Amino acid sequence: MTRCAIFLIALPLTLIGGCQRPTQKLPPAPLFTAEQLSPPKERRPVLAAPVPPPFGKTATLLFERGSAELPPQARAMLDREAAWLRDYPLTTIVVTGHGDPESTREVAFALGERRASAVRFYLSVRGVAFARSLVTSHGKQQPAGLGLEAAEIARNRRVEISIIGAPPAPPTY
Amino acid sequence: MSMPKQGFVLLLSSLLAAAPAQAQEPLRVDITEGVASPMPIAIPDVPAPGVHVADVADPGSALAQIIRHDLSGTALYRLLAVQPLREREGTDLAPFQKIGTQALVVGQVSLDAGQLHYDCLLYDVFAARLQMEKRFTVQPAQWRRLAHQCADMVFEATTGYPGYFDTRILFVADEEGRPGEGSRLAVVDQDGANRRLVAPGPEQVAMPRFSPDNRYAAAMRWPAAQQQIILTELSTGSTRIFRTPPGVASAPRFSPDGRSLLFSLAKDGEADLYRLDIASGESQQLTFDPGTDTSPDYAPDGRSIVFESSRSGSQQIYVMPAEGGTARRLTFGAGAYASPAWSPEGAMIAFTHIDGDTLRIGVMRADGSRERLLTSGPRDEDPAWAPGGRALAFQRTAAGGLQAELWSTDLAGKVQRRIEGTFPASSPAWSRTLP
Repeated sequence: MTRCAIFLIALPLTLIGGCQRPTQKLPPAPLFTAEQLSPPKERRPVLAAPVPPPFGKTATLLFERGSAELPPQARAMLDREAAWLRDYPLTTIVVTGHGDPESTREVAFALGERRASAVRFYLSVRGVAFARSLVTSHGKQQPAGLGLEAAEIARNRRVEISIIGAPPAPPTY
Repeated sequence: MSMPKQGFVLLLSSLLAAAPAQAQEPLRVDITEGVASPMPIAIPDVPAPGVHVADVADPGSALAQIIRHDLSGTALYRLLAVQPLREREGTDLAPFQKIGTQALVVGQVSLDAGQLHYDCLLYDVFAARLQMEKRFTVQPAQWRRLAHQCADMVFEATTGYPGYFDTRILFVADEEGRPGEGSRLAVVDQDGANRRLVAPGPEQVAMPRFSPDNRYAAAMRWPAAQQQIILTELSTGSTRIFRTPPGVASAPRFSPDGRSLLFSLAKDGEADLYRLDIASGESQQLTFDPGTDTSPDYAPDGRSIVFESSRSGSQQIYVMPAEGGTARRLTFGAGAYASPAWSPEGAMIAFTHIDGDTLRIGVMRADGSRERLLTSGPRDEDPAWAPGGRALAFQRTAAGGLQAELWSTDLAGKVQRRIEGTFPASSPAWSRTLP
């Protein structure tokens, strides 16, 4: 009786053991090395890239009230800025932060600096070295808009990026 | 006691009671438990048409008007309307007694040897006598100071507090319609007269403060790429720029001995307090906590520093020793607190109270107790104490307004008035009494 039971138990086990489940061949696991995180060193041809004017305001990023967190639209804009700045590694920029018009005066300067520092750090992770960017803050001294509607006031919570160093001539290959 | 002796004592005491009292009640505004009964006061015009001061038709009446304006802002006096006085000799107190005047101020202006003199007389009308008399002398161009000095004398004699009327206010003058462009340092008398820009002077400035001797202003400049802490000599406009550690430097404030400046340095998302030694230009860090530490102010004895910090998650007011060290939180009420200012007497701290979108000026004791709000808003900030600690200047942006102007309030919050002639303006600082 026990030998029968063992046989009955053993048989399906051997069948199971003999079954081949279909397997997928996975690609080799990616290796994350330091080189892959830093920007590509070689310069791509830039014949098609638009060249923003030097010494001008190139980007204005808006923030939430009282916050120095980069919203998604700001990140997208900064990605494009970083790409352009990687193509022109000799350019230097000034990142000017502004505080909220509703803040008190001293805190507005600190909030502007926090916003500008957040932008500077974001750019540095995308290949724009710290030495290329200068952080400054105008507090709430320089409002962008004179209106009182919420949309106008929201325009004041901003960071402006300006290029202060001339970019070299684009490569001609 | 036998009957005759009793009778004699009774007679003597009744005689004494009936005799005119020699020791009078002092001529003082009655302030009980912080609530003042305003003193009825008369300040008549004393015309002096023969005295010629440039652009002023009748300096005697103009000076009386200035004294009335100064004292009415304190909420401690009730001004009585009276006729101009024609004769100085033998001022008749009877008409003033009839209308219940308690104090009478008579000023007589005269010109002698190229200088203006003002005889300021304070009468105690109830006691029917001259309480105090003093002569003030200035160059004719500074004629308004005569009235302010007379008002200081009357204020001190009747309240015991030092007067604050012969003082000036330093502020940032903006351009009308163009906020943020071309802001300049400016100085004005505390009643709004004699507004002048500090020239040549720096441009794009913020947060100015008087030095303890009134001769310099510390401020910050915010030009295109680099914040700077600057020191400007007010009479010449010449400016010295300090080298501060890397970061955004703001909110410079003098120490009571005038030898160092406190300021806030923001770097990499954090702001801490620093002290700058003016002679050497060296900076030393005082706070190291995470978050934003800014808007510092020394206590008048120089031993403590009050400041605002966001280290608890919202803006609150803290006090720490002047060399740095453990900070003690003072404010625990609803809302948030900013821009603390220590009163010149050391007893109180003024602040800006934040409640959503509403900013209001408030005061509290230096230990954080007895907090009360003085102004109504909707956007009042940057309180600055008058010397003597009985009044505050602040900046008000009206509802629906875009640019700010300067206002003043008495300590009880009863009289708030615009400082005329300063629109658009921000960030007031109040001088010490002029020597």
